[in-house]
Amino acid sequence: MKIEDKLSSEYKYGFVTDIETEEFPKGLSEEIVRMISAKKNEPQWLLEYRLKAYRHWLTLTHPDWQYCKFPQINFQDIYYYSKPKSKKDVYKSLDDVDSELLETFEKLGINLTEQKRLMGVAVDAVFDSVSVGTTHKEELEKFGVIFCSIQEAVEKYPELVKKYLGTVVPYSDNYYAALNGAVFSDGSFVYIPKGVKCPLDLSTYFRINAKESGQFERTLIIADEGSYVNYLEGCTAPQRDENQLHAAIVELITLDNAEIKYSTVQNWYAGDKEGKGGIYNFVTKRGHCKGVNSKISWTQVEAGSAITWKYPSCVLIGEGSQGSFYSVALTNNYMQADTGTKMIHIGKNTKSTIISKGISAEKSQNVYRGLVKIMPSATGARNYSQCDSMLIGDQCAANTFPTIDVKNNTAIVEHEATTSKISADQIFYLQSRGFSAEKAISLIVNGFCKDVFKTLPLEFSVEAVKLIEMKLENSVG
Amino acid sequence: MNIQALAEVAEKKMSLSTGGVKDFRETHLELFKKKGLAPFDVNSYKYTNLSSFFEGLDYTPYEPDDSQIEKYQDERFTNIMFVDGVLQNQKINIPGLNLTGLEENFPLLYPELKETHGVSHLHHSLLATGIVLEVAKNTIIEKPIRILNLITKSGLNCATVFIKINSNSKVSILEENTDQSVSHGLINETYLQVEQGASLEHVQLTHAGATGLTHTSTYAYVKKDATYRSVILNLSGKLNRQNVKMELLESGAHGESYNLYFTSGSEQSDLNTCIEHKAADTTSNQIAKGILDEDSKGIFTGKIHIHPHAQRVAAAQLNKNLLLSKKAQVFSEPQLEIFADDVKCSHGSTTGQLSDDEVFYFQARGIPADKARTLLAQAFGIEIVLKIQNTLLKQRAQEFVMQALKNKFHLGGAK
Repeated sequence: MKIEDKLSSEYKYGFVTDIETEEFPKGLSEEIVRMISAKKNEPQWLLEYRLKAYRHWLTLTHPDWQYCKFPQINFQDIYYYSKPKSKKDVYKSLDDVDSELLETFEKLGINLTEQKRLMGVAVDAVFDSVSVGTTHKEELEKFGVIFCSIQEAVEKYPELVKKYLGTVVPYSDNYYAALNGAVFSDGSFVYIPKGVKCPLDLSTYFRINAKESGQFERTLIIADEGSYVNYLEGCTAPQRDENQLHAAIVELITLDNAEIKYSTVQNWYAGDKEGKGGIYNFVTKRGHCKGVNSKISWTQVEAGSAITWKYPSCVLIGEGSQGSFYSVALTNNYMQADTGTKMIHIGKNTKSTIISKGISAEKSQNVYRGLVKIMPSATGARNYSQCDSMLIGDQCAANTFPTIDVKNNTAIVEHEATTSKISADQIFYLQSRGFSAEKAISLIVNGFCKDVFKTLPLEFSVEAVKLIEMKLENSVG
Repeated sequence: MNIQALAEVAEKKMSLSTGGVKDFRETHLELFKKKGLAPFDVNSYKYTNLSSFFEGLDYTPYEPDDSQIEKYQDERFTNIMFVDGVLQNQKINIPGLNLTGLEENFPLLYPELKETHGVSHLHHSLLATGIVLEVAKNTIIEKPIRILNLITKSGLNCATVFIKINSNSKVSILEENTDQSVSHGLINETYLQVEQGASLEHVQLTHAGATGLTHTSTYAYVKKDATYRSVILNLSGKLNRQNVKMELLESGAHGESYNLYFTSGSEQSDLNTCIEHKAADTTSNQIAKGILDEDSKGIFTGKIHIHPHAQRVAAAQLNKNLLLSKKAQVFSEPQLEIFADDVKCSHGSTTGQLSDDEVFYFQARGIPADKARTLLAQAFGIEIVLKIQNTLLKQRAQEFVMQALKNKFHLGGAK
């Protein structure tokens, strides 16, 4: 039995919610940018920020260094704003939210109604361009934790947003950062005050539903001195033949002794077996460890998207700050992933750890691309990187492109990488002990990813294991 | 020196060639005029600014100086000498070894035009002299061959070496680049063809003066069950750019690439390697090490490309860098591109300094810190030299490496 013959997992979240939507006309222009801003009742400074970003975007050309191939994106053929139609422009509470929407999220396993919600996790649910609801707000407010949509934050806490928005990823950072800067819609805003260990895990769930639309959310998390937060992110989209664009920005800021753990389980629709359709996931994620001994940790499980192209990064500025990146990227069919991280060491005694596991099956392409940069000021910096790739099938590809720039001799930088096919001996061993080939592969793959899964919060870890199993279901032999 | 001036130099030298060589040179001169020094792959030259390579160089025609030849002869080897890019009239009288000029053998095996760097266009258009060295079938040549590039005058020089090792033959070759402390540019290209079952050991040793600029490219084509071992030692020179391309074309081909570079002052060493596994059951091993002091820079870009259907391939790559000063910089860019599934590939990269614990260990046993640091640096570097199998070549390389370690670095204490 051939491994490839059995790779035919179904995408569980491919349904479409039939809901009336309100959309702005297709295409991108200064008018659209102004319309988005007006729709959200934004202050003048934010409109100006958007316009600056838009004008900058016009001067840029699309980058071509990435390892993924896709047809030129027609930016005039995308809806930049799509919102489920409702009596009200803003959902004041969950009672305002239409039942179809709640059902959609229920189907996805996300319960927004308070009485049934999962204990211990607060959820912000984003549907196309708007946030439909945030749970546990009151409970969090008791601790001074702010957890709401960006739109709400702009209204209620303009100082905080103004102070930090765009400081980690300025609109001039790259092509898609400029695009996002111009048209960003909802996303989550989190502020953890001094000394608070956030009592709940915070979570945002992104759902793309509308056809031919793009999702351009923006997430901003600020952890003030001595605080801690565990943040989770999940995403799905319907099964469609056209490619859809998701170009988000995530900015994290940690001040002295603060810590942010950011986990993503990404399961956007990846296209069908022939590689038709699927989401283009072009995201800029970056964190600034500004304070002394602050920490940022990125964990990602990339199992969806036709193309994943992102590099969650840490800029380690504060003395003794630490960054870590744990990633599992699984590609099958015609999926392409060009992902990795950047660790920029600026402060003294900064540390970073990179663990990346890539699994490619069938005709997919999996690329690890990483940068470790030790600046002259980063005395005593330490980095450890490990990136391993596993190949299932003889038509897939795994590439590794790490870049290591060391400008300080007291730094210790280590990098290692291995690539190999899934071991026939190990499969045989498990089979001889009564496991089916499928179960054996699933066990081996999960073992391969263990270093990453163990850093995920429990619920996510279970979900990630299931997701990998599902992707490889019927897949292996 | 700008593109225009360089092109003029090539035009002036054009009359030295005839026939196929002339046509070849003219083609490349046109391409050079059009494209300049641009590499075919933008990223491959991102750390090295080539325009500075040619600055302040004059081209002065060579006048033979026979006294030089005697001095640099070494009886232990079969010597072939280029002085300022011009082949000295040497006869070789060894059975199974055939030395001829480029003209007799043209056209030769060159990489495709689209994979040609701007520097190669310049090199090809300047191509005045070169040699073709052929080892006959089933021949083992005991005495190592030494090809010396000696630079005595300031200027821009080029040399081309073609080596063909026919099936089941074995030979060791040393290519040595050195100068008499004059500022110069040397563009060298070496093409190697290792036929079925043959074995070639190829050592390249560069110990130029402080102002020497060296740009060497090595292309190796390895056939069925053949072995190619490349050991490259770049011990000094203002700028050393080394391109290595190894193509393992048929099953059973085995390639090894070992590199050691030392830099201090404002020197820069840029090593760019590419190992192509184009057939199944091919293997390769690569180790690149650098010791860097003062303001110097070291760059390592190493690609391992495993083509589709090249199954059962094993490829290992390791890059280690030792920084001795605060200002030294290392850029390390390993790249694995794998398009087959039944493979074992690994790469590793480390950058660090001498371990205080290890120095302390020595001191606790009565060995002073400076001596301990020297020993540790030697141990770090000598690993590459010990990969050379031919005893004579190993000895010669060891002498130079030890000397360079002693003279070049400040191992006496904290710097």
